[in-house]
Amino acid sequence: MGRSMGGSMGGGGGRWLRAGCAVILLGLSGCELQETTVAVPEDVILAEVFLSVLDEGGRAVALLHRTVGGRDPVPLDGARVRLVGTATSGSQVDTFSHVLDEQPLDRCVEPPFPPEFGGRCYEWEDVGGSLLRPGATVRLEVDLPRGGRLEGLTTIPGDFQLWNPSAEECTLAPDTPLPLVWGQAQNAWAYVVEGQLYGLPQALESEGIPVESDPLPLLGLSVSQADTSLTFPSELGLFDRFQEDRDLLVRLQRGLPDGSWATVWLGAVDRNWANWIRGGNFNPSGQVRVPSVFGDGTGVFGSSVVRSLLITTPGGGPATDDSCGSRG
Amino acid sequence: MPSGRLRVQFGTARPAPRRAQFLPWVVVLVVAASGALAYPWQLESQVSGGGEGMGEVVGTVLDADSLPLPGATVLLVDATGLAVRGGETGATGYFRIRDVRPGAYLVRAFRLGSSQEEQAIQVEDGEVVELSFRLGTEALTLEGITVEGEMDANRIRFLREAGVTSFELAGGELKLIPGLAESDPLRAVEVLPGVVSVSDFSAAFNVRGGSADQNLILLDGVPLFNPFHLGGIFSVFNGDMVAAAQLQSGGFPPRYGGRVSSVLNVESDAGPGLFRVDAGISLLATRVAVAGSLPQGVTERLGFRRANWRVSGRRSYVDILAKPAFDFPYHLQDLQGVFDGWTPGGGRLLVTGYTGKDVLNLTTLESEDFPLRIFWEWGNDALGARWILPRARGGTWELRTSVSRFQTGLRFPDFGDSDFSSSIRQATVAAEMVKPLPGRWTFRWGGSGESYRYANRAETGGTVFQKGDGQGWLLGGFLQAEWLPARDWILEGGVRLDGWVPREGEETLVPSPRLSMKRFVGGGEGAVKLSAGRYSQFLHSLRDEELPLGLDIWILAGNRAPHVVSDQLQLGVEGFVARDWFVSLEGYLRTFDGVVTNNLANDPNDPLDDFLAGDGYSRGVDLFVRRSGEGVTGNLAVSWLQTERTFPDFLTGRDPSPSLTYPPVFDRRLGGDLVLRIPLPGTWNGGVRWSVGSGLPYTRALASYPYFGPRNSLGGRLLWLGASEEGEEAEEDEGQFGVLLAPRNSQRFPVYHRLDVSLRRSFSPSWGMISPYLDILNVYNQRNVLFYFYQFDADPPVRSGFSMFPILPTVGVEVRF
Repeated sequence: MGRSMGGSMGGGGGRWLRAGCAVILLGLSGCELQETTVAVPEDVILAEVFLSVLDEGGRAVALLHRTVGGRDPVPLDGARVRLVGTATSGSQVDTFSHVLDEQPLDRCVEPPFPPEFGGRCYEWEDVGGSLLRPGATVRLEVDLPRGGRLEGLTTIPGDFQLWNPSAEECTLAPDTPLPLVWGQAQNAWAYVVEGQLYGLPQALESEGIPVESDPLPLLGLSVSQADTSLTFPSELGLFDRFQEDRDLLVRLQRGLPDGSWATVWLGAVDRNWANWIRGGNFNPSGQVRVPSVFGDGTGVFGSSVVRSLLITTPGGGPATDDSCGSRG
Repeated sequence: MPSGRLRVQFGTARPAPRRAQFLPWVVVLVVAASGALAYPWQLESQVSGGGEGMGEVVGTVLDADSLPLPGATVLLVDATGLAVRGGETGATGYFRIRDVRPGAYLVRAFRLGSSQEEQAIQVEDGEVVELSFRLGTEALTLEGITVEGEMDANRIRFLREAGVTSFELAGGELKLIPGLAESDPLRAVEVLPGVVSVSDFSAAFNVRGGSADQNLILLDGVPLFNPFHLGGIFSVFNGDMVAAAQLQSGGFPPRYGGRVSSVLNVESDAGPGLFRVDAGISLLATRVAVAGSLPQGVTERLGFRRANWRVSGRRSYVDILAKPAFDFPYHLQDLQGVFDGWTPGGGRLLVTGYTGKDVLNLTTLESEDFPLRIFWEWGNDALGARWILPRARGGTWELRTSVSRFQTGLRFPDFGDSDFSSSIRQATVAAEMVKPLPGRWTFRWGGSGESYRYANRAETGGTVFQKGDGQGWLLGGFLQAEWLPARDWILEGGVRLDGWVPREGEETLVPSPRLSMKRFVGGGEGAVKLSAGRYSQFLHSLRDEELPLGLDIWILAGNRAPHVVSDQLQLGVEGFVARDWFVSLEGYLRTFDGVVTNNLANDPNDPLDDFLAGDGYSRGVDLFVRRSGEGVTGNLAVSWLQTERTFPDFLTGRDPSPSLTYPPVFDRRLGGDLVLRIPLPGTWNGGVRWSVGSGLPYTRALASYPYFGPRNSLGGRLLWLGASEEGEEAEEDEGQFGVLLAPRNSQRFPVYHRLDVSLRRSFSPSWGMISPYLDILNVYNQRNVLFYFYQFDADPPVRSGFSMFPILPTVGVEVRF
């Protein structure tokens, strides 16, 4: 029965159906209403805070920003971002309270930035992951400089292992789909699979398939804690099927071409992360998100546990000794 | 599997809000009203002898082949020429007119397409006069008979029906209501009171504050789950096949079950038995309907005395015309048939079939034109049969069986990992008996068994975004009694029992008492009517009604969704204020408990939280004025409505979600529709429709913010989604924006209004008839708002948007021979 993400993760699922409807609709109407000036929008603070637990340790990234064009914008300088957590390991219970350091914006946001973007970036590297651990419960407190507070709560998903391939670096035969299989992470709402595919422009040149990006980022998704498999690379890129070159994505259904390689991040994400990226009701003015930060603003406080691997073809990338195996 | 537990539900599906519990008060009110209204009746009874001295006129109306003629009108005309009483023949051609004052009358029987016959009678005290009419076949081009027939059909309904709120649009009326490309029964019901259409783009409608999935849409009694083409722009009904469309918008007697808001029955016309072809071409499609009768030998071998049929086909043609130049990716097609057979004993077999499909094929487009190859098809298939057997003194047995299914599938030929599909199927077996008793009672009872099955799936990229399937049995039974305690009264009551047995979930039994009463006043020209009842529904559509286009995705009640229980009360007055003027004014109050919506923040690890249960209410007043007769005819509908829904507000992100009460998108507080049918000189006919409505609610964007996505591949950093290639300088409009919203549906669009006109001329060459027509929608090009877009990243911030239909002229031609 219904194992579902009622909305869509970053534009998938039902949003495709909506897009189809919109195409028909716009073709039939085609009557744009005259632009009317409206009141200056409200100024609302957004806190987008994500915790990631990797093999080498934990990392917290906090981006504070505000709605665009707001009147009398609340200054963000001097805001304080604090994480308060409890992590249990066997009989040991660790509690911590850590104030994040302000950092340059590009430590939180990959360029390009939105025009006139005035966000503030805060970061914490928990080297070794002694505090940001799988299963830990962490509270977010953001104190604004003119008063006001934003709060959130997350439970980091449980730890999990990658079963196939078992090695973190492996070699995959060209044109061979690879089943990625992993164990369940407690309390995960979804697994987000991110791939960065390198060397495709050269590898596909002989086939006449142009590739503009190198690396090519592709996103995949497994919904629910129990959905613990995904085929690489064919089942990645589902959110790009309306945008990327069709020939390229069809070509990747067969597997990686020889001469290419990829890095893959597999993240078990919590409720807050999943709700934020999948969106809510349809609204013609933009995406609607389900928040997990409350108080004098809105936003997300999400967490994930991440595993990564390197997949190469014989003719591409750094050589590895382990074979990734193949379908079946 | 069924749980084995049985829950008898006298209350509501879930803990009910206070306003949902008015049914006991309704019963008290009805009883009190009965007493109050009965007092003058008792006085009259003493004066008139309580009806003891009244006579009765019964009989049958047969056609030229001596077969029963259903739907014929029988009027008693007194010495002054006034039609004082009337009746209509049932499925077996039987009619019964009670409470006839002693005296001399002319009894007139007629029916559209048949001749008119008259017989003079004398009715004595307590006498039952039995008559038999035989009507010949007559050409269908007599406008006068059409008009007269419509007028009297309305009067018959007024005289016969107790509490049901019912409106009928005959095939001829439908054609003069300006339509999009061609006449459309579903769009035509928008002109009726209490009916709200949310958008020009959708033929879906809402009745008296109910959601669209609470309308039962029937083709000759066979349910259709998604009777629309092109995502709702057109209905599947071919106007050439339609005899009439009847909308029942409230006060349903116990024999009706399955939906809580309205019943729209579209009746097919099997034709008079003569070979006839109706064809037409519009900007939408070409269509042809062929009618005839089986050869006499075949008819007799099959056991019939007469067997008429009509089949029709319709297909859009733009894709075919455009083929040499480019690939137009869409087409629709319908195939419909009806068979109407009569046995020598007066039994009647009606068989209806329909199959239709929409195909959106984007697989042949170049990748530069459309990046993703898509093949999407959807359609209904339905087949039903009714077997009506006459019994003595007007009673009937009726057996019905039908199957109906809707299915849709969206495929991406390049990506075998995708499966977007939805289907629902219903099979029905039902039996019903009508037994008039001597005196003033008529009983009707019956039962039905309905099997439902649905399956929905949205899967792509190796994961399932949404899936669900289920099955259930709906076992229903009813007992309904009509009592005419006096000439001025109709009382109708009974109870319906619906037992729902889902494959997964609790078995439920919902008793639904219903009571209606009507008291005639003003010498029988007016009436006060009151009805109250409980209604239930065991399936839901998940279509987001805030999207102007879309398909219904159905689910069944069970462990994932509750069933709907609706208590309804309505009180009204109606009557003929002059010979050709009918006026009704009716107020209503409804509750809806157990309505559902998608839970877009559901826990993917919880199989039972995909849908959120809620409740709601509606209240309103409907005014309807109809002018029939000679000259300009038409109707005016004015409706006031207030409706709200309450659901857990998942958008807050809180756990548990707080409740949110808001007006749904079909909460049109005040709406009006004026329809005029104007005979013009020569063979011209004109039609005008002017619609006006207060603004519908929408959710305003209050502010926007850059829409980032977290990326573990970027070390946990955020990426502005939709931005240009990494490393390039961002420019305006390159990235997406998220929005923060005002309270749901707290704003309203401007007033909606639109004028449509229709002009039609009929020529009658020797071989038949040809009728070109011109329809112009939105004559003065009013920009009614479909969407607003708020752009807060502009300086200054602006609001733009899209309008609904601009001025839209369409032409077509119809031929008949």
